[in-house]
Amino acid sequence: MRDLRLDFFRGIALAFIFLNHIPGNIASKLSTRDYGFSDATEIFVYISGYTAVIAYGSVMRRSGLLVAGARILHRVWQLYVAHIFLFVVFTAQIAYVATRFDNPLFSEEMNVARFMNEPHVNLIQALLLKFKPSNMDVLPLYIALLFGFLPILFLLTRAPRLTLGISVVLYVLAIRFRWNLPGYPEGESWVFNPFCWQLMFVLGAWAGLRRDVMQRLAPYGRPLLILSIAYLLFALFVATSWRVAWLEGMVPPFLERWMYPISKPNMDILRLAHFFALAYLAVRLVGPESRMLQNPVAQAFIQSGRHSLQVFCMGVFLSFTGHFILVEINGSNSSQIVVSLGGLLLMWSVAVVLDWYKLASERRSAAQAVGVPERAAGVSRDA
Amino acid sequence: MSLVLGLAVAVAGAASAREVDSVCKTADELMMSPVTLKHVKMARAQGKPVRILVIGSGSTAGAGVSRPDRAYPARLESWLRDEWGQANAVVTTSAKAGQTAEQMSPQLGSLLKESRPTLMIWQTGTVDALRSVDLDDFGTALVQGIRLAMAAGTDVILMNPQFGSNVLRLRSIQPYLDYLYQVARAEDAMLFARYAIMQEWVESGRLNLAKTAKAEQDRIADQAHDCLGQLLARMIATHAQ
Repeated sequence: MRDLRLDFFRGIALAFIFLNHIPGNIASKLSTRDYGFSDATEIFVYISGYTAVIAYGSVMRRSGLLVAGARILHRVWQLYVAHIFLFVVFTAQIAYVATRFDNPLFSEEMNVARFMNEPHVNLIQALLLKFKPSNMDVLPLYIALLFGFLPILFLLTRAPRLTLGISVVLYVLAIRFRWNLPGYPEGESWVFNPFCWQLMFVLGAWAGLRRDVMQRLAPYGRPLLILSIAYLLFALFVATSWRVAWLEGMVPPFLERWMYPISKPNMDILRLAHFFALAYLAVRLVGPESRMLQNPVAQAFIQSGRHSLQVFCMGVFLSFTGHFILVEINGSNSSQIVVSLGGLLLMWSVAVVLDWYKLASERRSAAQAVGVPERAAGVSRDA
Repeated sequence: MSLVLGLAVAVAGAASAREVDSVCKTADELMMSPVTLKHVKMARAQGKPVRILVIGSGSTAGAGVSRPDRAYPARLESWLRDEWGQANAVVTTSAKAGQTAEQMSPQLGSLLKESRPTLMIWQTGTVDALRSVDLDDFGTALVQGIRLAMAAGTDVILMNPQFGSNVLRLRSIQPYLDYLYQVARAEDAMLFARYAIMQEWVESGRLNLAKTAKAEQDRIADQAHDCLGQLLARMIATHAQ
C-alpha cells in the first residue's frame, strides 16, 4: 500500500535543503530550521531509511541477499557520482569567488581560502569522501549509510529489536568516545557523523519494516500529542531566544548549561526528540489518505520526493546559481524570493521530466508483464 | 583633547557616558547581554585599572587598517581611557592570523598568567569556519578556554567572525556562530555579536565593501574598527555597572 506521505515529506525536506543552502536567504525562514532544534537533514535521513527498507527489503525477499546487495551498491555508485558532480560545481564556484574583490578587512579570510583551494588535492579528498563541498551536504552521509545497509537490512528482518539496540548503543558510544570518520583537512572529521546519524536511519528503517507504528501508538494518542506539542513549543521558545534578545534572559541558566551546545554533527538527543515530535504531529495531521495530499502543490512535492536524488542535485546546483544571482545582480529581499521560487519550480520540473520519460518508456515496453507489479507499488524503485 | 575629556568625565562622576557615534550605531538588542562583568565591575568600584587581554586572529591583528593603532583593540583602549581615565584601562593584544580556537587555546594559560587581566576578549571562529574544523572540538576548545580564564579571575567576552567576506559566504558559518552563542550562554560569558553588527552595517549601506580607491578603503576599514572599538567599550562599560 503506497504511502504518499513519504514522498511528500521528502519533497518538502528537499525544498528546505535548497532554501537553506542559499546564504542570507529570507525564504529559508519557511523551513523548520529556525523554529526548533532539528532541520531538513533529520527528515531526509529518516525517510531514506524508511524507503530503503521498502525498496531493498522487497528485492531481498524476492531475489535473495546477493541481488539486494548488488542493487544497493548500484545505488551507492549513483550517489557517489552525484557527489563528485557537486564537488565540481563547488570548485567552480570557489574558483570564481576567489577572483572577486574582497575588502582588505578580510585578508585573513582570503588567505585561508586560497591556502585551502588546491583543486588537485581537494579532488582526491573528495573522491575519498573526506572533502565535503558544502557543510550542509548530506550526500556523503547517505552514501556511508547505504553502503553499510545490507547487514542492517538482514539483521532488521531477523532480529529488529536487537538491531535497534545495537544502533542505540553505537550512537551512545560514538558520542562518549568521540568516534567519527576522518575528514579533510587533516584533523577534521565528518560534518554528519555516520556513527551517530545511523540511529536516525535505522529508526526509519525499523519503522518502514513494521508499517504499523502509528497503530501501535494509537492507544497513547492523547498524551503523545500533548507531549509532542509541549516539546515543540519549548523548542520554539529556545530557538526564538537565539534571535530575540529579550527572550534570551528567560531561558534558565541551568537549562543552558545542560543543553548547549546542541550538536548537529552528533545528532544531539534534543534534535532527535524534536524531529520525532514534529514527525508525530505531522503524521497525525496528515493521514495516509488525506485530502491535503490531493492539492496541486502537495502533488508537486510528492513528485519531487519520488526522484529525490536528481532533485537534490538540481537543488544544490541551483542554490549555487541562486547565490551567484543574489550576489552579482540583485540581493534584495524580493530578489531572494524570486530566486527561491524559481529554484523550487525548476527542481519540480526535473521530477516532471523524469516522470514523463518514465511513462513514455513504459508505454513502449508495455508488452512486458514482469515489471508491472514493481511499478504498481508506487514507491520509487531505489531509496 | 582626550585628556580634557577624561578629566571632564572623571569630574562628572560615575556612569553617565557619551553616546556612540551615529555612524556606528547598532540595534539595542545587539548590545544587550544578561551577563555582568563581575571582575571589571569590582575593579571599577575599587578604583583599580582594568586590564584587558584581547586574543584573536587576523582581524584582531588589524587586517585592513591603515596603521596598527587603528585596529579595534587600540581603539577600544582609547575609548575606555576617554571614559574612565588615562590610567584606568590597559589593553594588550595577542593576535596571529590564521589561527583556530584550538590553536589559540594552549597559549591562554601563559598569557593569562603573564598579564593577569580583568577581562579577556576572545575573537575566534573565522578560521575554524573556513577550515570546517570539527564542531565539537571547536566547542570544547571554547569551553576549556573560558573556564581557564574564569578560574584565573578574568571575565570573558567572546567575539564572533566578521561579516562581509565573499569566501566566508560559501562556507557554512552558521553552526560556528551558533556554537559561539550557545557556549557563551552555557558558560556565562558575554558574546559580542560582531557578525550581526557588521551585517546590519553592510545591509543598511553604512559599511561599503565594494572596490574603491585604496585611500577610501583604508578610511572605511579604519572607521569599521573604530566603531567596533566604540561599541565594545560601550558594552563593557554598561555591563560593569
